[in-house]
Amino acid sequence: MNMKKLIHKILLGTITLLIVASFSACEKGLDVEPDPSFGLDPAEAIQSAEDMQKLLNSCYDACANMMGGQFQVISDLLADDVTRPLNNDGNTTAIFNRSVAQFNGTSNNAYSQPYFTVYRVNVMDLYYDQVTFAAGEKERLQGEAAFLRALCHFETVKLWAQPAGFTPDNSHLGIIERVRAKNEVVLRTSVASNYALIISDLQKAIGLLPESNGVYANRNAAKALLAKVYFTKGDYAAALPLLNEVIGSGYTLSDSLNRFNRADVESEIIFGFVTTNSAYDINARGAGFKGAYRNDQNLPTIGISTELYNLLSADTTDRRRKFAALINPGQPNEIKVSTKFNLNNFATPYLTLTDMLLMRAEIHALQSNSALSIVDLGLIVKRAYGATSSKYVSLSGLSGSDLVNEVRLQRRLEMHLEGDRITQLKRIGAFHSTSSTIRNAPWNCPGMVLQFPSSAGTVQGFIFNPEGGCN
Amino acid sequence: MRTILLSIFGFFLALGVQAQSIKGKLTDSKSEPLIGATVIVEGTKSGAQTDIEGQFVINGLNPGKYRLRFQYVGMKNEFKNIELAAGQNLILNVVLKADENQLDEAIVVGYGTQTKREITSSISKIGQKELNDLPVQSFEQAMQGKLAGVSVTQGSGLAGSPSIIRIRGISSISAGGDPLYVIDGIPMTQDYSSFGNAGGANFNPLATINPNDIESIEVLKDAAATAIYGSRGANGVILITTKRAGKGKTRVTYNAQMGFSTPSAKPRLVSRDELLNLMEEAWINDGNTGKPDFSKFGINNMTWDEARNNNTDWYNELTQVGVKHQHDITLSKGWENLSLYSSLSYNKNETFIKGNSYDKISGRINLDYQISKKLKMQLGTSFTNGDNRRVYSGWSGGYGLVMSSALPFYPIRNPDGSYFLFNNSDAGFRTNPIMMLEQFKWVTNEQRTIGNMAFDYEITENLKARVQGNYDYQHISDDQFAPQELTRANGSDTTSISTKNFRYTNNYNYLAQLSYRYKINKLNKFDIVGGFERQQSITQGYNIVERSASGFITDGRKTDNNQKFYIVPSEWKFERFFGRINYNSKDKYFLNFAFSYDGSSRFGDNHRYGFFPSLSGAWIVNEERFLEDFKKLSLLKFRASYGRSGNSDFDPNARYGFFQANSAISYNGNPTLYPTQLENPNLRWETSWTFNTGLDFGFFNNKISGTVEFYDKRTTDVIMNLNLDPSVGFGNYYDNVGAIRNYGAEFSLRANLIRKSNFTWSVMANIARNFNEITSTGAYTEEAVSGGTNDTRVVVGMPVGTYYLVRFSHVDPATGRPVYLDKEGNQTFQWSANNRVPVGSILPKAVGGFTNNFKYKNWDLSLLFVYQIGGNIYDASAKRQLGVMSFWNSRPEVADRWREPGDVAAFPRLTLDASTYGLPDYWQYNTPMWLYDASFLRLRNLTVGYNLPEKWSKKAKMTSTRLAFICTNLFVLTNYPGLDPEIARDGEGNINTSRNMQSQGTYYLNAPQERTYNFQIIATF
Repeated sequence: MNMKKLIHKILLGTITLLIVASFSACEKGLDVEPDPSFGLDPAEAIQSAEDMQKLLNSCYDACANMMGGQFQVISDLLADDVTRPLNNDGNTTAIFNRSVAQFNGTSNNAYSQPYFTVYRVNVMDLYYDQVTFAAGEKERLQGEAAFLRALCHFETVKLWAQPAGFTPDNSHLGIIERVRAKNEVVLRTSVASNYALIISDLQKAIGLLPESNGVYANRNAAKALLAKVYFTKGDYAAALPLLNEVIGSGYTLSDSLNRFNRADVESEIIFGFVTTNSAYDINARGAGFKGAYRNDQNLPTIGISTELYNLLSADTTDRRRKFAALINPGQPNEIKVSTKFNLNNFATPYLTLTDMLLMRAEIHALQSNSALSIVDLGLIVKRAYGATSSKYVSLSGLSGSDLVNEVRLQRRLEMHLEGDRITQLKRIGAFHSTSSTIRNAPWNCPGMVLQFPSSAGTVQGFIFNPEGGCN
Repeated sequence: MRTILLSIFGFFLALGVQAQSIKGKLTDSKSEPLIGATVIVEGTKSGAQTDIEGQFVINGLNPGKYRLRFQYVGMKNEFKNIELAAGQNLILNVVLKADENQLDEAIVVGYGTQTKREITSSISKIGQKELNDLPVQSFEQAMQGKLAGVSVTQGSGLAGSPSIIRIRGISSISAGGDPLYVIDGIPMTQDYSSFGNAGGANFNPLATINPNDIESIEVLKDAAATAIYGSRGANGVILITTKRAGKGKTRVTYNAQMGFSTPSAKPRLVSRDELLNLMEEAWINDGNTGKPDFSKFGINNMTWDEARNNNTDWYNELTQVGVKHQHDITLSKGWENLSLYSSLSYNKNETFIKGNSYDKISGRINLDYQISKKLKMQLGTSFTNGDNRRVYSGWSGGYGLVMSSALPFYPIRNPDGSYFLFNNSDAGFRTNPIMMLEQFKWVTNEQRTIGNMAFDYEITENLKARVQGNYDYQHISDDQFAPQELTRANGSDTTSISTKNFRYTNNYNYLAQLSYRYKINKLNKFDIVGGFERQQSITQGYNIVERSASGFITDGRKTDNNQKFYIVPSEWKFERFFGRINYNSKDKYFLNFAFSYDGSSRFGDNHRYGFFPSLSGAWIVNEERFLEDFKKLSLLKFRASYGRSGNSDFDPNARYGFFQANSAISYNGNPTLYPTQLENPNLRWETSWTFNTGLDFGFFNNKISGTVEFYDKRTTDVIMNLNLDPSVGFGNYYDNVGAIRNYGAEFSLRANLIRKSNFTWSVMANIARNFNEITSTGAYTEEAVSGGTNDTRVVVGMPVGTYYLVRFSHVDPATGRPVYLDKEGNQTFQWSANNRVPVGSILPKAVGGFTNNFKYKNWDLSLLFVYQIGGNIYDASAKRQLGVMSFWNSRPEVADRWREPGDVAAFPRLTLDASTYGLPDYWQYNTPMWLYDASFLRLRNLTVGYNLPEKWSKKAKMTSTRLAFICTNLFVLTNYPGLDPEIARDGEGNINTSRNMQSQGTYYLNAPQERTYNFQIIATF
């Protein structure tokens, strides 16, 4: 075969091959559009103010889930109001034992929850300048987003770091602050830094939020949360004016004590998470509370401590006595329970007038302003025991540490199993009684702080919490 | 369908047969006909293949002088010079002698074949005889111990349990570690995780290939061999070639096997009374008095006093002697222009676990039709229907409960006849396994057809074109039925429940290819191959749940769409250009360049295409003049290669970012929108650069021959499904962040030690030593990826699948508490995850096997040993069986425990309280106490065979008849105290992650392998 013929045939073959190939070979031909059920392309997901509102709704949803008992139950397991888990569950028992390690499923799951919201809030930051808003709409969204990010960071730092006051300047390790929607390495910063961010977010929210905003966060909610943040970090002077503003904003105590039934206590709710009649909400909201404490259908997995039971049932005039109940009374398998969560449709109050009054009452009591303290405390006591009760009548005689203790007792009774107890005990340990203990363990023992999940240590330089030391 | 097939068949039969001018017969030195041998008339285009009786016919030659070449695999070429007179019908009978050299053996390589002489890369081959010398459920099991560098870890004794195949170690973490399987040119669907590990078992997609249909398996190991498969070749490529008929008259083979399945090991557990004594001791140790309160052990359905009323042997209740039988019938027939291979196989495969079996029927038709002198067509199609009768096992129940919470003092039934419900505190261990066995029905049906059609066109003598289209369809229907009695007893529901989970995968590819041979002169030539290939796969399906049904959902198609939950389809595409240039000089020097230019939908927008080149060479040294005097050296071939390949076996949707708009998830009645997955536009293949060098040698006319190879494979851009710091806002993220190095050596040897007329003894042995090291995890720590149950981590400087545990020091003689070591080696009573360190690895140091074949007259004996040296087993069940007392059974080793101050013991004081052991909870008792040496030597196969004398067979109208007794897994020598040192735990969670990082060495309540006894008869007509 001569060379010319050969080249001709090679060319012929190559052309044939290329024709076949070119029918399909192109970069676009490789594209596979993911099935719509996977979700939306990020580049197209946020197109309008309406989409931004939906994104914000998902932040409320995520927060409602985490505050639907998950964080509160974990908090109370560390404190002294509950029993060792009745079902021998390894994870919750480890929390109760203050020996949470890196592989605690309950604690690890909780840790991821607030950061869902934080990420979404940070995603919103990317779109404020790309979307057209109605007047005031952008500011409202920014305000609510800042409020929710602060809430999430605040709830996280309370559980995964030693409290404010653990070190004089709060230089001890806090949590990871996330302020950008980016998969980047961020390490833990100090508790001082954490609180500074939380306060900054809340101050921003106060400036942006409207006075009234339906069931969503409004300006008073941001003020109330900021007051609570200051109170928790022992900065009572900063908390007091905010408490005065919020308490003076027209909220009134409800006569009902069914705090988790929003309709009953609407007048005193500054901010809380709602449940609607959708199947998802009814089934999912409050699942953390119901799973742990509900006892009218099945046995609870966690009972209340004898100490709390006795406190709740000590005074026959105390209407909160109704929450204390016994299962199998007198039997070896007797269980003390709270009926507070024997509900179907759940709302989770997060910031309430009761809480504000008790904070202000304690601050006044600590500042020896007994009269002012008794005014606030009196509202709570009168509702619980009645205006003619000896408890209410005797309040006026209280002062000094007796008054402080009474305020704290009423807080415990009012807000039992709402996740508040451990925060107060740690605050008291940090600022008022450094030798105090929580269920026979020092308030600042390492195990009193939850351990981070092992996955938090995925990045170089992450420092885990010390463990143990509480037993 | 049958009518259509018969019509096609008849059409091909009708094609005529032509007359011949040279006839003859080719036989070997024992006068056995050589079937499928080639006769070539040199310098012409004429030639022929021998038929079933070794006969050949060549027509159409002009009168003249010719040189005929006779060749057959494994035989020396024979040449005859003839002179053909006009009108002569020449008869020519030729005897071929065995060629110990075997350099002319055909080896299948990617997109073509080469002779062994021409091979410049690392390729191992296994033929049909070695594949079918032991009964297996799936062909990959038969490869174990026979190929250097190919590690086959057998699955459990469950029907359909997949093996783990690793070629030269593992270079992936979150991407698949399995080789690419290509059957007759089709890259197969090989997803083990179609249904996760439901029931404690994965799914074996390879089981649908009938081992009896396989002609040969070539394993491509180095980059020079795999580069042509580009971004999918880095874990090696397994090329499966199915049988095709040669020319000749009808040949029918019937192969029948009948056998029995028993477990290769039985769990060792304490008796009822021993267990109760242990429980009582723990109760007292914890400071309690009186009778133990069972509720404190998590036992909620029985009191201490009731315990001695029952003594159930759960093991006996759940096991059996399984019956197996298999029938294969094959038919082959060749005409001048047409050849047909067809087979039909039925396989009934009970295991030693009651209720568990895998029944399979399969068939294959392969047709070759020479349409014209220049055009040839190949057609192949197979169909398999497999029914896997499933049972719960491992972590999910059944046999797994025998070793955990099926306590000997639990009865099977209550006095009133109802089932006794365990009601243990942990939900995973509540179910009575006999209740499940008797009540729960579960069948996974798989249907699969693999078909291909290829046309080869000879444009010129040296230029050939091929177009090929392939189709692989897999259809899996998983049906479960729980009657009302069961759902009520489990407390999960009050009605019967039927579920159908249905998946189907359409996988198709096509290719166009040109091959050209260019001879510069008689001594130098080029072989060039180039082409384009495209593949697409989409998996779809749905799940149905029906309540109050009376049995399986028979036809999911009839179910209303509203009741179906369609799964999210998984779709991917590949396309690539590939090429190879071989340069051959003097048949002694070879140079090879191969490449693939790959694109895939799996790759992120910034990396859509990758280039994968390789360069390799070989030198037949013993044919050099300077070695002419070394007569004892019959073969010395040196090879070396360097090249790049990739791995792209990862989630096809991993690169995308997603937002979800979910109307069901709302807040205050308002809709939500939220991100669900982070986008990674840079996600791409893993890249491996591999250097390989090898030496093939033979002595004494190749009575002793072998291969030694060294390789160094460095993989970068290793894909990790990263455990993200939860504060990022997502749990996981796929990224190319790691680097892994595998290097090692392989040695294989074949020796014909005795070769007498009545007695022969041959030995084959191989060993492969692999060093594996993670050289980088980027900016991430060892926590970046974890094995399925948190036992293994990615540790830089250590192998993939490194156990990362808190070290155990000793039992404190004073208190009986376990003493651990912190990271610095200080003793502590407190177990803390902060103190975990690397303590072992799932990966063995070396694996291999050796076979002894003896033949005495008509008898033969074959022994296949497989072995593993090094590596660790982590027995994750032992931490409960020998840990904190609860509702689990215990093992006899617990006898060596602390009982009183001063005791020096292996195990600590018994307790119900995890804090006594310094543990947060009893699941965290992860220490090297449960880490064992995984070395073993196993007699994998023992076969005693007898070939009936020819005259007996002929009397029965048969060509040959063989009888054999085959025993598998007769014994295993190991220091591992558990059931079976060979562990291929069916993956959990992220299947790929756990298969690479854990599955091979981490044990958790799995069933051991089977020991089978089989009788076989092979009759050829």
